[in-house]
Amino acid sequence: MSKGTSPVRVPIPISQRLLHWRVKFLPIVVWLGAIAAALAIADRQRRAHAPLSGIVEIREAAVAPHFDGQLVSLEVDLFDAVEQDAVIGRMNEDLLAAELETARAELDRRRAELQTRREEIRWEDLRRQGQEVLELGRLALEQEEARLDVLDRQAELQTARVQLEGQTVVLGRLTELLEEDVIDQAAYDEAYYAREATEVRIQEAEVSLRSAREMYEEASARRAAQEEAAGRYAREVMEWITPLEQALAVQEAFLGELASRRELLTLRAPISGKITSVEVRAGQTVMAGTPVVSIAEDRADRVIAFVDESHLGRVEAATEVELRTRRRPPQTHRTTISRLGGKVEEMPEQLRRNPLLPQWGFPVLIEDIPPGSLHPGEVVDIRILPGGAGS
Amino acid sequence: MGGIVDAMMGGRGVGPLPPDPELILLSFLLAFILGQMIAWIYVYTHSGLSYSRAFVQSIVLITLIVCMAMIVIGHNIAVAVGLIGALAVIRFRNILKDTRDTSFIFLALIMGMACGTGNFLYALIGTGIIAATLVYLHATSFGSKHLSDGFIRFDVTAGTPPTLREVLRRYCRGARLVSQRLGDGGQGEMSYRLVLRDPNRANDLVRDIEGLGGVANVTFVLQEEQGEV
Repeated sequence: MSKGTSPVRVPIPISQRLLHWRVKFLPIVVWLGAIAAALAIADRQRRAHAPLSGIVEIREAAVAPHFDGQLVSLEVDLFDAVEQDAVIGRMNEDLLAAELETARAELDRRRAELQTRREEIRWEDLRRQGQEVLELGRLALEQEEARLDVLDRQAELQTARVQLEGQTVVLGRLTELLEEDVIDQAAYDEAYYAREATEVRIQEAEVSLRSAREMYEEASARRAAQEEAAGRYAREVMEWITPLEQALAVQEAFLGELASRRELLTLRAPISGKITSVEVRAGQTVMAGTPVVSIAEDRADRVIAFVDESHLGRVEAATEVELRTRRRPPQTHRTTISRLGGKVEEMPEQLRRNPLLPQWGFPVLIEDIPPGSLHPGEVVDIRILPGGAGS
Repeated sequence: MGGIVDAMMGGRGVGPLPPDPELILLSFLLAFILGQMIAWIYVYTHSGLSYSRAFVQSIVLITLIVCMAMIVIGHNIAVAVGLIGALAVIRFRNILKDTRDTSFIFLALIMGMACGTGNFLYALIGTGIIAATLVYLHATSFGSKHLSDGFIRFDVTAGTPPTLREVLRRYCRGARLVSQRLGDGGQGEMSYRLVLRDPNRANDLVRDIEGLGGVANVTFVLQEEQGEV
């Protein structure tokens, strides 16, 4: 055995070198490899990630009755295809018929009531007319008499005035004659006192005329009042009748409405499409406005998409996008964004990363989709194509 | 076969969006990368006597297992509570001494939940990745601070032989003095932990050391997986 050491080191076998490499360097290599793989996948995900996702618009209409009642028949079933205005079902007419009968009876009653009232008024009117005629006649007569009295007084006054003028002339002449001693004093005094008497008579006639005029005015006022009362009665009669006539008109209108309801007892499809839900079956009672069936249009040519807030700057109208369905195999369609929404809104559950947590996005509308390529309500992923705004 | 794959890819038919395999893979890769980084930091910064390679490997395993668990649970509170309950039951019924054992129990639990909740794709990908990681950790003896092929112990009569280092250098890639007991006159005992260049030449090493002056009772213990547990 040599006491010294060989200057040459023992060669390391390949297996030991591999073991050493495996222990020392393999973890580093694997770790770096994992980083490279993670970066590659992340970059791939980033490129493939669709900043938008959307739902194909569903155009749906609910068919509901206008009135409460029983659904007698339902002509369609789930997933049936229907055309616009096709009959969906029929409501029970019994209630409507009963309402019609009730309305007709009420109408007849009101008509009878109105007729009765009219008869009453007519008889009352006749009676009052008779009385009024008599009264008016009497008052007219009074008025005429008063007027004649006035005229008489006026004539009398005029006569007295004429007479006074004549007497005044005569007296003047007699005064001259007296002064000429043609006549004696007695003759003059006679004429003088006659004239005095005429003046007194004129004064009395004036008083009498004033009194006659007052009486005439009173008689005229009484006659006018009577005529006024007659007119007021005519107006009051109209006021008694008008509410009845209005009630009658309302009832007639109601009857017309009931008659038109018959048209609405037949439920018709407002749009063409497929029955997506049947809420009420034949025989069930349904309230007005409660949906009986829902119809969804077959048309699926619009997508309402939501843009994540972080990508808002990348979309605008006419931005080219690619729609990709989630079916297998997926389908793609190229189109453009038609319109932008007005505000950031809460997204539907199907489009959220977690359906349980609310998420908000900016809505956009995408049209020009080939007909028949998508289904209403289908979720699609949307990718902004290079060359689009902000892409 | 296609139907089986479709079933796994699509879960249980109409329901949530089918899982994206790339995203799942990315999740596991990131968990692995970060877990291994944490483990290295632990190895580098650890001081004291309680070092355990199994614990270091568990760090990497647990990041992957918890990643799998969160994928399976998702946002389902019921599943999360079920997991807590199952863990509690297992913990109370079994005393798990080793961290690595606990990791395996946890892994089995998560795999069962993945299959039970219909997340077949998650279960398959997760099992594959974690199994590969386990093999990788074992093959690389990941976490070993001091790898060695064995111990050599010998008595000295006149202190450290002057040519000892040359002999060790010739046969070993690394040699670390782990214990030395020297008394008056240079008598004593020395022990080295060795990483041999060629374990098959261990006898030559012993012979050369015995040939050094002042060395006796040379004992070499060749052990695999020597060092930390």
